[in-house]
Amino acid sequence: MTLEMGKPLVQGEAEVDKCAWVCDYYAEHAESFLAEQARSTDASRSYVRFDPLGVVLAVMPWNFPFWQVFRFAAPALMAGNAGVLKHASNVPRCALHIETVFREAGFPPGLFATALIGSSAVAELIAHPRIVAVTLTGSEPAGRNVAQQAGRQLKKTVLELGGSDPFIVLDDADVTAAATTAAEARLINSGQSCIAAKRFIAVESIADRFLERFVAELGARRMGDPLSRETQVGPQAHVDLRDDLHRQVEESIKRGAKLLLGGEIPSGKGAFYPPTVLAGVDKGMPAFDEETFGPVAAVIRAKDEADAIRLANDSSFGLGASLWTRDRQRAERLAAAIEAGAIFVNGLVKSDPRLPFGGIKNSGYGRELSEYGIREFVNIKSVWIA
Amino acid sequence: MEVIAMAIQSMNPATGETLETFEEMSRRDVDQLVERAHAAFLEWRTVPFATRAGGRPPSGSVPARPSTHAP
Repeated sequence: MTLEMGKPLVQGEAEVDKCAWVCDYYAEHAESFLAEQARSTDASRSYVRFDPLGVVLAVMPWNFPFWQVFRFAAPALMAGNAGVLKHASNVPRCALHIETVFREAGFPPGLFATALIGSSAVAELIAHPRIVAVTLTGSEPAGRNVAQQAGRQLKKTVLELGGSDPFIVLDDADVTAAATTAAEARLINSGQSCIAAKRFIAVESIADRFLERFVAELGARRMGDPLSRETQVGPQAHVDLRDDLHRQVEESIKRGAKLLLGGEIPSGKGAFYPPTVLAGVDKGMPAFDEETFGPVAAVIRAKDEADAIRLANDSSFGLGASLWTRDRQRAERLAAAIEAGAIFVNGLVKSDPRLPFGGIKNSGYGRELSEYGIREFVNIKSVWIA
Repeated sequence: MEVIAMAIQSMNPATGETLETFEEMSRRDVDQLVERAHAAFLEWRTVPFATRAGGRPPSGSVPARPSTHAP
């Protein structure tokens, strides 16, 4: 993982541990999640049963090359399905290793298999009569393509796409804790995460305090060799992606954003990009309108609570959101108003096998994890007996 | 999340070094792989949950392992 996509070693170890967790979780709970449910109707007996569908195609990204696959595979296989993995083209070793893991764990040969193919071969695979459904974690364009192709074949899809998650800091927030967590939330996987916080919306009265602390936190993170246990920020997964990110930063600056930290491609080898802060970010800038898939934080000032929520929702994405306030009632009221698949109050957005995970708007549809995730790839069958 | 269109290639992004290049599977290879998965499914769907779980620890014994390092 570290060699193929640059994830700092310590973070890679944690990712693998989380994969084991989701396997344990579904090993323990799949049976109860998929147990028959009796229904009282005019029948002498009626109930709902959950039958597996068949071979599910998983199109997965490079950013969490193990976790994204296990998040799909653990529930799908426990439900009785088979899986075919089309992994991102830059992580073939991870893909083959995952196949080996399933084989060595004792799953039947071929039940989970890796297809080493390029993106251009995916449409044909979706059309394969044995493929019954498709799950994709990846970019919005990739999601549109796969959904279109699956639509033509009338095959079900679950899509977990990009995000431009807001991190909202209100006037009554613990600003110090918010700034520390904000830095962590932006730098998950060197910034390359769908649920990394990307737009930091701070209300006027605390914005300066937050910004000062946030910049200091980000500036203190150690970037370097991902094989070193001290490294907190590794390289970006590919030079082209790093260059794209830099273009978003430069274009945002050209349109009026103020660079407070980073923003320069370091000399030397590798696809490195430093933690970067842009202040005064607004709609019409790439740092606001697009997903920034790297360690670039966009800081936006809001006049008040209402303005903060308006800005948070003013995005084509709706994956996660982090909200900072000391007022529980206020938090729960706003949780209803924020357009996203998950709201984390006074914490960073993260997935948990016990909680459903997924987005709305251009972040996709369907849910992974929890009992909702395992019921995506089953036939929810009604049985009615006179 | 960005799209990378490229050969199936392991490349170390910290150094730019190419680790390994893989040849794409042929249409026939992929077809066989899918047919094998389907054949395995026909058996697997009849296997009881406890066997699918591979003798994991009994209920309630799995500790949570929260991590901020995976989405």
